[in-house]
Amino acid sequence: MSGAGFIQLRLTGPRFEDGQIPLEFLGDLAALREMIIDVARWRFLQENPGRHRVPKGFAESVSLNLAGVEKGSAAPIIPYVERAMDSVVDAISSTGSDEGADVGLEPSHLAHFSRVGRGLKDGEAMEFGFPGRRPARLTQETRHRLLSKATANGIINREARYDVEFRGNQLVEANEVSLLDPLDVSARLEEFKNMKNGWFEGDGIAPSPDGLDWLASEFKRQYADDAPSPRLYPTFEGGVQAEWSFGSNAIVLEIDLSERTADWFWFDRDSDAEEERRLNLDDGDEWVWLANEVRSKAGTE
Amino acid sequence: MNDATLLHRQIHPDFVQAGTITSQVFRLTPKDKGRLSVYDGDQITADEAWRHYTSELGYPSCGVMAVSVGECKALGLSVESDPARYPEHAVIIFEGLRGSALKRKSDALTVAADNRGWQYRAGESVA
Repeated sequence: MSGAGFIQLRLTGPRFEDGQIPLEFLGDLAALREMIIDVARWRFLQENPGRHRVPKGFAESVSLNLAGVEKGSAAPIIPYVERAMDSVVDAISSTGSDEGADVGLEPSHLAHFSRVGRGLKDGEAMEFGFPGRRPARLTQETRHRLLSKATANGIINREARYDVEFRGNQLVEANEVSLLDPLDVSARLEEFKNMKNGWFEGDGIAPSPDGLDWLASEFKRQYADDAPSPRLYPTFEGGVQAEWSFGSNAIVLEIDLSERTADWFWFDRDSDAEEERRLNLDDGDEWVWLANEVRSKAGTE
Repeated sequence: MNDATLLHRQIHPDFVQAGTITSQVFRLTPKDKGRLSVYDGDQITADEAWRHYTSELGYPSCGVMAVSVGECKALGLSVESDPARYPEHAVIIFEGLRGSALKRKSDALTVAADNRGWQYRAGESVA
């Protein structure tokens, strides 16, 4: 266990003899952060079986630099992050010494190695370690062993977002690897930014990027993290429609991004029962009401 | 057409999330004027309808779902052939419906289509 200590990162090889880390490896560091957050998220959910999502802002609250976990990181999350770092280092070490070793990480975590260490050439290595521990060396060979474990276990599934390159059935490269909750609100709303006016049969207004940013921010800030996530879709009028479905209970929330209001419509598919309401999404109490109603209809309140 | 005839509806790529379609698939837009366009499944297969929609009409679609004429009639919706646009064109008529009643019908059609499953999925074969 690293405690709140340092991560030692060193690049070895002729290119790095002056002790500097080239700018091109900044992407590797960003990918390393993503991997650690992924593993930390996984551990959190494993150890909190009553939770279906990590706390809001989990990723954003993690601040890593080469000196370790920064003091600004949220205190309850630090233990998961530190153990995630241990897991990553152990995975590298065990694979380096034993190709067939069980690395103790999910294949989806291992897929991050498509970016971490991508810039390494033959004869070069990234060394990760903590004070008092023998460093783990990530070489191209180790990296490919880790990636082959990800492929062998079939990491690709419909709910993951990968941009990958295969040779045969071997995962070789990925330009971007990011495994998200399939109902991740921010990611879904970000997708809508690619839309253009006329998106539906030559008509249809694209949602405004500013409006999407506002909605993503409000969902993260105001919508209870233990309430079921909605499915989100663009509307013809340039808004966003949130939908939930729990058996006979159907909920449709039509969100007007410019007015910051939403029309709530719940109905029971098996009866005439229904309710309509206009919500002011600038009012925090309305978000509380929304989460309570969704939980109630889901039977999880 | 008869009650068993399938009516193919194109699915816009943004109308699917995590494998689930939105009820907007069967919702009217202003230009529909109360008549929702579908393809007559007795005259054209789902994959042919997809090719027509994407290649001939030039609109994006990630696949095709369907409801039957009988399912529409059970909801009080009539169906008509409308070959003026193209021979396989048909319409589900939502005349006189507004607000919550309209949303309920759209939802019911979506549930029926979802229960039937994809008739064609772009890039895949549908068993």
